[in-house]
Amino acid sequence: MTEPSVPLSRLSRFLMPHSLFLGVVVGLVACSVAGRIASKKPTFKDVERFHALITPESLFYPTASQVKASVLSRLDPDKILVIVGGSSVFHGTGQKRDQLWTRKLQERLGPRYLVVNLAVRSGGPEEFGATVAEMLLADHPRLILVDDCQAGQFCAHPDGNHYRYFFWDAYWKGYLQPDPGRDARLQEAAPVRSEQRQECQRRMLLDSILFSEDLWNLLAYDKLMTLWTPLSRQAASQPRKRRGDPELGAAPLARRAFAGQLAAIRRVIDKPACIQPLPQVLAGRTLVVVRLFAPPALSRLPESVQATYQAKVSNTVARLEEMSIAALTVGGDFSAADYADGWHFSESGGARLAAAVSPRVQDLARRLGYLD
Amino acid sequence: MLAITRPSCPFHPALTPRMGKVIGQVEHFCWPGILTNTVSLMLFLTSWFVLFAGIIFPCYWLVRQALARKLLLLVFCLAFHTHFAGPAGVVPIIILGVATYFAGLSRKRPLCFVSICLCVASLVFYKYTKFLCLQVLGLLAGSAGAAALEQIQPWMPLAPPLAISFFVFEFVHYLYDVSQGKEPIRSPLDFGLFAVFWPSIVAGPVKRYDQFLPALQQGVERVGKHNIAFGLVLVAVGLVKKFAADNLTAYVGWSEKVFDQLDPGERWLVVLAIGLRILWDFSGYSDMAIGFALMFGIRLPINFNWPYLAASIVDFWHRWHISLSTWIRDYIYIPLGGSRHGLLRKVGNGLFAFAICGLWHGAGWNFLGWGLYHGIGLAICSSYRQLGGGIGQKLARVFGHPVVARPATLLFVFVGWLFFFYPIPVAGHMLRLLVSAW
Repeated sequence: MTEPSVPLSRLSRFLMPHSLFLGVVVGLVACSVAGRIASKKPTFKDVERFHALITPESLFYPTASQVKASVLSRLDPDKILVIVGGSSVFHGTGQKRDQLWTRKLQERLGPRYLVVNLAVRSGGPEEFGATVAEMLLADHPRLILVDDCQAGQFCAHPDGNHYRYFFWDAYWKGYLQPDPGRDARLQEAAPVRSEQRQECQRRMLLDSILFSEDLWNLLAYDKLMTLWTPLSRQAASQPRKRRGDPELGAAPLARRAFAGQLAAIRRVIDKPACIQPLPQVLAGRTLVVVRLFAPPALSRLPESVQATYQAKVSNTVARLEEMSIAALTVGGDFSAADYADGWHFSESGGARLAAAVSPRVQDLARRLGYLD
Repeated sequence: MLAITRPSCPFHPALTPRMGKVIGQVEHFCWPGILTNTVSLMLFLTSWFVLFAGIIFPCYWLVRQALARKLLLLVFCLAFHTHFAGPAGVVPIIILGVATYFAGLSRKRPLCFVSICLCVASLVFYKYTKFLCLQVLGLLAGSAGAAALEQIQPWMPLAPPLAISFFVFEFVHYLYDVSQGKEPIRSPLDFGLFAVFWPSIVAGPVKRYDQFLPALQQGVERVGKHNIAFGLVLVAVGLVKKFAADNLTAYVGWSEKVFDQLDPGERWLVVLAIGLRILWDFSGYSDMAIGFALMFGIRLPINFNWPYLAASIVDFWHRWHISLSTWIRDYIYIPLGGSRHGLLRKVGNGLFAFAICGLWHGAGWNFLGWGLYHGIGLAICSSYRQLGGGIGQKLARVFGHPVVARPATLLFVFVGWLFFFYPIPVAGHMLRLLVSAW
């Protein structure tokens, strides 16, 4: 009939239960301790931006502790820290590493500032970079956050969207500043939160005790990556430290797809507005760039839609300023060559972005008394 | 612990069920068998389950009395099923379980038969209605199939109840055995545990009550630390297999989209990955189920016994998903007459049994095709020696040698997986690409 289960007597010769149980406990504790040690290492100190091979896109989840340690290791207490957060636009999609707009921003701001690019693909203004800025305030108060957003959308989710794991990691590890407004929003969202979001929250709570993510990151970054992903398929097991920034930069101007993105642009314009505050500690030291879609793409839309869009942009700037967040728009007078596609900037667009942002950063630094 | 703390990735396809879409020549499908096991892994990687396991195991070990252990186990099994299946998902198993229990107690053949029909009808309703309407009726009577589905669909849940394929098979086996004169389960507690035993309910092994009850009794009377230790080792092994399988899923998922553009070596690598993936996925889950059960002191039968070392197709089915293959043998093939009525009937019975086996895995023509593929292979394998005369004997000498037999069997099985995972035309296309390089 059916096969019997594996007879225990053969294996019990080799298996010593008490040793196994002790080994499991000791192993768990040892890994947690190793994880805590790994969390303090500045693992990403040489990373210029968190490209696709060191983000969740390729199953790599930088932890709040490691990113914090990495930024702190680069910090000079005399410098004004400028954290660039936000989405793929500020991340520099469309710009190769040596064309990055944040390098140009650093050149313009000069040695008194340290610009750190923590913008991530699919990141929201409240995610990743903003979380790191909040974490670092206690250690380095002379900090400015430069963020980007789409018209009508700002901080829709208090704990983020694609990077909510990062928020909860920082939250449970006690890195975030108290913020009653955010807590109230989290509480309000809790009953309707999906099972997946709740699971993420619980999982990061467990990880804040075990630090397994930190340990795994250290191994995957420095020694051996254990997961195959399409993005990393060439040499999938190679440690991520040895994988270069895969960003290819903008296509030649003739091949840039402005018309093909009209449907996506329309969806953004038609989406109901949601503008929520940043954590209170960040509001007064944040500059938000409301980035505009590429004029070659916008001009193909009906005039009524363009008018709706412009109104949405103006409304967004006004709402941000009401929340004590400095805001400006960038891209309205850019040409097709300044855009890699419908919304990402090319190298020249990035240079113009840096030129627009740097005086506002300096102005903000002056108002905050950082230059005294 | 990494398994527990790894957050779900919104980008990673392997962790999200994928719906079918055509990309080039190769359709990219949501694999029902794989989905079941992906779901089962996800169940075990939720914080709810961690809490559940953290409570149930210590409570079970600390409670010494057998009856109390059984009660505790039943409560937790019901909690497990209710949590993951949802209240609506629990209703079918309760209704069918009650019907099966009382029918079994009565020991009346007509009642047992009616209960078997009820169980099978439920399975067909929940799992095969769409296939029967759109694919079968649609083929025979055009738009009547879609019209029929439109009438029935409001009555159907979005997805079949969790584990329906498994508990229906267990109920059918129980009712059949009782109707043949075996002793029924009198204790509702024992029956309840047989019906909803959480380690095996989601994805097997398919239990036999005459083996499970003594194992259950043994477990609740005494749980040795060797059981717990070995169970823990099995769970760990299962988890490693599942994660290895998950990696292969990502590789296969990407490769199938560009299958036409790969070179021949890479295509065969994809086939190898498909074969390893399904083995590690299924056997990994079975290891975890057996391991968790063992931690209660309850020994479940092994389900996979190095199937890719099989020396023939017959041998393969003695090693692969053993609980299912023996069920098919005992409750479909043998009742139909088995091999007792001549070669033709034997082949027919075998084909029918394997057709059912294929369809059990999923409601689709490709599953039926895969089942028949194995049925034909089995029929040839078990009869070519006699039918082939002198040539048959010579072939038997060649294919009987392990150096030939094992690779040949492996090749047969791995090619079969293409029919399991892809629509028949696509599998055929992939096969042509695989052999055209030679």
